[in-house]
Amino acid sequence: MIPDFLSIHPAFLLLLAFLFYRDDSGVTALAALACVLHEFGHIFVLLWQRKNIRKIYFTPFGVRIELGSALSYSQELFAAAAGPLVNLGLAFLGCYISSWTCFSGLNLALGTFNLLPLGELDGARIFQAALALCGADGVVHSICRSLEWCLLIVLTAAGFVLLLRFGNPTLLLTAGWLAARHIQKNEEKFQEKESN
Amino acid sequence: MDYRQTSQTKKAYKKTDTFERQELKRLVFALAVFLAVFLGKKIYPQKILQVGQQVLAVVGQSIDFDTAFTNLGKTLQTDGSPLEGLESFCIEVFGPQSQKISAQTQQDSCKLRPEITLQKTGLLTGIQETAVMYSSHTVPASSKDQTVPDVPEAIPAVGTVLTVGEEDQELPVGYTADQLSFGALETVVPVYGSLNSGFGYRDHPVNGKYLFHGGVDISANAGDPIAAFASGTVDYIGKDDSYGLYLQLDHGDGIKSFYAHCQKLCVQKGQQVTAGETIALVGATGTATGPHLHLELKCGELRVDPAYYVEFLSS
Repeated sequence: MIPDFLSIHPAFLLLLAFLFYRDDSGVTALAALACVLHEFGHIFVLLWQRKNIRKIYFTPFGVRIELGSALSYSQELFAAAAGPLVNLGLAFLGCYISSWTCFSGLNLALGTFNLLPLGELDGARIFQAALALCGADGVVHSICRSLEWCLLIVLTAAGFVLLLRFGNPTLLLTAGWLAARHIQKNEEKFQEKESN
Repeated sequence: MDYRQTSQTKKAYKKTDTFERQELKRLVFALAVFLAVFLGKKIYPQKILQVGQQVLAVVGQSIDFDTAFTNLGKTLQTDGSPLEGLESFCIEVFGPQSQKISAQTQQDSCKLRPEITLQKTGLLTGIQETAVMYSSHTVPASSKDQTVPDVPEAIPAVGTVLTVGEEDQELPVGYTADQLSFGALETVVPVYGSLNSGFGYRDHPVNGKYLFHGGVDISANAGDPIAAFASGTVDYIGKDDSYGLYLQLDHGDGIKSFYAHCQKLCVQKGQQVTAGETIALVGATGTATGPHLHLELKCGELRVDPAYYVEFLSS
């Protein structure tokens, strides 16, 4: 029933079910729509670059697109920027449509969050591709990686403080999500190296 | 040919190694979580229960993302700076949740009872009228035209004996039948109901033994809101077989109020509450024959008779 180029992790469906269950205001559906449009931004640019999309993975840590061939740095830059740009575009479009207030705010939040140069977010990919294009690849790459870890640790610590001080677990959950995503990506890279 | 075979075998071994290492990592993690919960429950059962309560309270809370996103969208629509909008969005989503909690608890039928906050009971009713006039807002209508003395009478310090209680029997250590001053603390009646069982020796309603009762039992309907006796912070929350779901508020200066047999707690440990705010719902958890609030008041090391400080409906 599911096409070959789609792979859906059971935990992704569980997470989605939980979010829909917890949500009374319908904001999850809007967020899902914004995420789908975000991914369409990526896919559109990749297709425009005539790249072969091999498989799309839906995991609890986000959507991952597997390609048939590698991207050049400039292609990577455009492909990574396309997702957040779609969200920011929708956010500014929403300024002129009064019934889009929530959707507009959601897109602005999603777009800017993805532009953070953190973990495996689009911002980090744009940042690294841009630095590589400027000719500073090797050293900067390792500095970026250590900076990412530092930021993750700071975010986790701040998340703990906010949880204990105000009982708000959102930042801690966000940091945990970013860390899990980071670890998952590292494991994949490690596996790729091993299998090569 | 031989070489290729060896390298393939090596690769296969490597793959199994990686797989096994990952499995082992997951196993160790699961074991650590299991041990933490298992040992924790055996060694610190109370602590684990409290943590469980807190986790449930945190998971049960939901941040109003809909409003947060709508507010963010509004800043865009009203030519506000997107950065400022994002800043307040972050504060709303990641910051303190006190306002959201009260909004949520209102939805959960844990409503503030304005009539209770209005009906403040002057702490020193009938004893220090002048002091009350200056300390709380319950100015009697007849006293409005009175000339205000230049030097207001001082409010008795916290712990000062205001009325000497009369008890037939000697009370256990840590209890007093005297009325002690709570200073300028403004208080409200947590639950309006009739007095079921007072402070003092009584035959226990469940086990029939003649025991000391360290608080008052106020009868009420299950699910009735329990208002905070005064402003303060939540000292602790918990659950046991005897008191059921309980919590204690710390009002400062050593004054504390304790509420037991609740059906549901609406606050978390460390949370700030204002006088009259709903902190729990009346229930019959623990050892209870029916829904009621067991209220205890403490002043320093001594438990006092709450009947001096709260009003009851005449049954």
